[in-house]
Amino acid sequence: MAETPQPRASLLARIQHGYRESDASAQLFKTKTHTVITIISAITAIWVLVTLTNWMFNAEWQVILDKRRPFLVGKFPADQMWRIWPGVWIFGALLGLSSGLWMRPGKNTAITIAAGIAILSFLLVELDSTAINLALILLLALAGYVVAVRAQDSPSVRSLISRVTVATWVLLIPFMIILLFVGDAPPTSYWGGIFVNVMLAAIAIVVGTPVAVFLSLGRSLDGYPAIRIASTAFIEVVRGAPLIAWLFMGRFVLPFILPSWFGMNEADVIFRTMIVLILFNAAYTAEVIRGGLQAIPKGQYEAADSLGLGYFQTLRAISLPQAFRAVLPSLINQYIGLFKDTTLVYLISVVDVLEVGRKAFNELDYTGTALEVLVFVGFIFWLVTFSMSAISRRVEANMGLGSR
Amino acid sequence: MNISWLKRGVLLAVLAFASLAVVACSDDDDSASASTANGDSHEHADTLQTVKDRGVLKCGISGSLPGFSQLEADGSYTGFDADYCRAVAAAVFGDSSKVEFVETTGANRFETLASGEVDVLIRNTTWTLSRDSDLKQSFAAPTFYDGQGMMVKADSPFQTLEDMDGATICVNQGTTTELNLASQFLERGLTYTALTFETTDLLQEAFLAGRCDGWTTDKSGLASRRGVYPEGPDALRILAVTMSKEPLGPLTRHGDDEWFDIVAWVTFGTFQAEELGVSSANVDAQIANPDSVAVALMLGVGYDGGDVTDMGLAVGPQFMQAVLKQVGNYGEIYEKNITPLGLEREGSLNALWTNGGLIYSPPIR
Amino acid sequence: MSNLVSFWYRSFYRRTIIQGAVILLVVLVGLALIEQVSNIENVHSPRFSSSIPFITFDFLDARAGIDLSHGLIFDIDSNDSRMDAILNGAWNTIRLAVVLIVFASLLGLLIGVGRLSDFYLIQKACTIYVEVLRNIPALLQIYIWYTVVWFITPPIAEAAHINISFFGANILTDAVIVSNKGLAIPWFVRESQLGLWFLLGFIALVISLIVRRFLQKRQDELGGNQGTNRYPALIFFGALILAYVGLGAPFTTETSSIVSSGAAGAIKNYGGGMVITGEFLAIVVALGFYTASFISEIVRGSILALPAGQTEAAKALGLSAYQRLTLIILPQALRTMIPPLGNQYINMTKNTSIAVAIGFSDVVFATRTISNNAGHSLEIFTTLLVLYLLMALVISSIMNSLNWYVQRSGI
Repeated sequence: MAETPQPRASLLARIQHGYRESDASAQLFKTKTHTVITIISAITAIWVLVTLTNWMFNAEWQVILDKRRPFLVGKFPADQMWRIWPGVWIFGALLGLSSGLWMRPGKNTAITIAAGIAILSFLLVELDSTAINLALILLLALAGYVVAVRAQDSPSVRSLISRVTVATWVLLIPFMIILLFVGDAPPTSYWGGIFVNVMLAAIAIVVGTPVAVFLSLGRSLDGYPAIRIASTAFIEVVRGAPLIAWLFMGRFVLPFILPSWFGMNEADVIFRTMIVLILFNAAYTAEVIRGGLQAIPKGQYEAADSLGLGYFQTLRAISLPQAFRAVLPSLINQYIGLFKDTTLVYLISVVDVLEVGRKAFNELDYTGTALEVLVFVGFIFWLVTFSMSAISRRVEANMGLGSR
Repeated sequence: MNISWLKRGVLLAVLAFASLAVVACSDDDDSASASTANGDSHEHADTLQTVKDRGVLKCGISGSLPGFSQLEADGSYTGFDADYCRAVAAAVFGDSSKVEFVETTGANRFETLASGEVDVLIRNTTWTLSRDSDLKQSFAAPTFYDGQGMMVKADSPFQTLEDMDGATICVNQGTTTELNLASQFLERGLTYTALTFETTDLLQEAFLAGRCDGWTTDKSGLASRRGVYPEGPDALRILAVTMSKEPLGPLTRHGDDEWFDIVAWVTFGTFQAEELGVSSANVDAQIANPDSVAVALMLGVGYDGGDVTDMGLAVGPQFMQAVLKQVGNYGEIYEKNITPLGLEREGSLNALWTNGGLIYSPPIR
Repeated sequence: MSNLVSFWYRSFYRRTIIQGAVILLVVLVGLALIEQVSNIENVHSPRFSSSIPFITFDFLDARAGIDLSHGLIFDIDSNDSRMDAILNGAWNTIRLAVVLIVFASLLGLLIGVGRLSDFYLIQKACTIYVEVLRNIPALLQIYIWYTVVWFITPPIAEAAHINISFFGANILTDAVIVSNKGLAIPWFVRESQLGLWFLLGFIALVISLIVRRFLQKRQDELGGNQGTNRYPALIFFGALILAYVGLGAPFTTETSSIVSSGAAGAIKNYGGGMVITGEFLAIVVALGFYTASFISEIVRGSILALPAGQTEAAKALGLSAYQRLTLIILPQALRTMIPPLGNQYINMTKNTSIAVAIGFSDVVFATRTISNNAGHSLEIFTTLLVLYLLMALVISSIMNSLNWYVQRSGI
């Protein structure tokens, strides 16, 4: 099937040979129709570009510069930033290590990450001791990358490093949580900005995914109708109502339902939002994982049976690794969706980055800057989610998905 | 998507809900009597203790209503409502800074209070029967007597509500003004379209864009927003008509009378202090040497070398000392926050009763 | 010990014990919740929990006291009951969802095919569209569109009137009126003979179906083309034309105009026609564009998943590119598209709930307001949950029957 693509690649040819970008660009002026369409669309594209550039240079960006601190961390006190930085350092190092181990970023990914760091530095540069922190993160990421690449030669070192990396990824969130609450910590009502979006999404993913595994297993368990019905009911009821409804439920009904152990019923909004997002994410992720479990050929289970593996051994060694590998793209999509959905928390008075923006452009000094603020916040989200999907594509390719 | 699962899900939800209802119904009498008999009290019941344990008062405010509660650039809150939060904190802790302000919207304030997320709600909230009975809230005392007004662009020809037949009116979600608007236009046989917003910020954007012909809320709120209107206060005009009675005041949850008493008497204390001429300027002198028995009772000190009378309020007899030192009396709070909005106190309902207004404190004795 | 092990491995007992434990756990948690809630009932917050032991929906019969805007069909006012207000909100949600499904599907199809286009710039533009729009939160896009709608539309006093003309002759004056109070388009006004029209149409349909069946039988017996489609269609449309001549049109169209009221006529509103509010428009555009980026990926994936032989055969038959797309590729891609499309539609319906952010009176809005006026959060929340579950159920049954039909008939 893999013949050389024909120079004139129609829809048919692309379906046949797989899509190549050069196919289309090679024939900008192939026929008269092509020429006409190319000219028209080029003019439109130039007009759009000129309009956008014009707007960008005439827009009032002062509000972004003035508000960069709230955009980043909300009301979080400056002298408490030491609670946030170490997590970000480790994140940088892990990013370097992981990309060295599994990704070997391509040109586009590298550009995206560089752009991300540029934006970050733009945001941070005037905060206390930020220049040092930023340099440290860059250094750690680079060091991680170099170490990981060097380690490729020796399989034993590589496996050690990858184990450590995975373990640190898993422990990163608990570590950050401990740091954020230990001692005389600022209350969570001081949390804000993009920090809240990232923390909420990260916790919902890290805690929600194991819950999702149990739910999906429960839903596909033969011979245990009680468990199956309970899992199914949970998944379908949660998926039945929009996130907004669950967030309201979490804010206004949960306090009455939570038991008073450890003062859980006194828990603040962020904590309750976390519970809602964890369960919400778990229900959706469970369905994704179930798809992966169903895709495993029956022969695999039969083989595991004949090897004498028990249920949990089969899960650990056979079905879950394959299921996760199969659904990785959908899983990343689910996580991206969750990250975007964290903007809805403003409805229950959590001041996330979008809400910081909305408050900013409603201030008297910044009236009429709504579009600037919204475009800026949109850009932040775009950067993060686009990087996530770029990374997922890269990992997919390196894991050899679809080519096994 | 698999329908059969969905069907079962719905069925299960309904069944679960029904069984919950049945069990709860049958369970109700037993548990009610049981817990009364055992004196089994939930920790929420003692709000004062909860607040003391926490070390900070959680106070629900608006946060975007200049003059009442407004977030400042340095992260602090200013305003009439914010000062009453500080007064309650001063009474409880002797330190008016021990307040954690929680921003609420018109639509979520009661749930925020009911769920225990805040200890007291001081968010220019109107006292109504249904909020007492349906929503199970207790209003302490009106701190501000207001009425619903209508604000229009200054260059529009509207003078009365009758001029506004067919108008689009911007209103906040979950407010009494939303309900009044409906009944006022219904009574006058006028048609209108309500555009309802949860936040005032978005409402202002809509109004700026000419999306609505009128903007309605309490007159004080209108004055407050007019003061910070992007096109300047002169671009707006508030109609003379007053559409309702809006007594605004602090409120607490039903079921904790001790806590309610504290909030109510801190409020009354500020009225009483003004009436007796005690302010933050002379409170220290008055503590040392009270002018009258009434002042001595209010400040919890002995008169002319006599003993202190403790009237049993759970925060002790001297609760008003910190309030007056750190926050001030009603007149001072009003002067500082409301007067800059251009709302004259003289001759209004918010004058002291001795000046023909409604600000009146039952005796502190 | 070995007895115990063999007992455990006898699957019947194992299943019973494990499931018994799960059921016990669920029951215990349920009891704990009830205990919790009834404890609160006594002391903490009577507001919420008074609604628990006496779960009641009576309060929904009370007068709503609020007006919901953006409603079209059920014209409710503040004198109607709270339940009416919630149903009106639900109707607004359904209306939004239906419009969105049509809009997002068409746009998604265009973009999806566009990404596989021959034309480099079109294909690039579609790729950029997808990569940008699906990576920005829907709520933010709604804000952006809402700001844009206000930004570009004039106040109603200076509304833009768009006429449809053909070589200078006005065919339809005020076809579209645009202002910040919304978009007004002509709409149908029913005439008194509409009922008679429906009756006639129904009779004509039945007759033409009977004729078609008869002709089909004939064709099966005799072979050849007996005009099984042509004659019934002729009968049906012939009857309609006769009805038009005899009865007049079943409905007329009415264009919108601007009506003044209030002092000095300073308040202007649309009169007649269909008015689409700026809020509705912002949500449709924002959510439609957002969801279209996902639908386009489904379309693209389904097309790429087709076996190459199909298009090769079509090409061998001499079909043009357009014919290949509409006759061969899309109908087949539809089969793989329908299940994921159904999921997207359900997601989008749930996503319409974020419309409360700009004050659109959907079902979430109505329930929130009523809960704020009357308490009873739990009952109201359950109502909301059931309404959304019903909507999801309806969408998935429609999509499932569509799927069944497509798989069976193999269009």
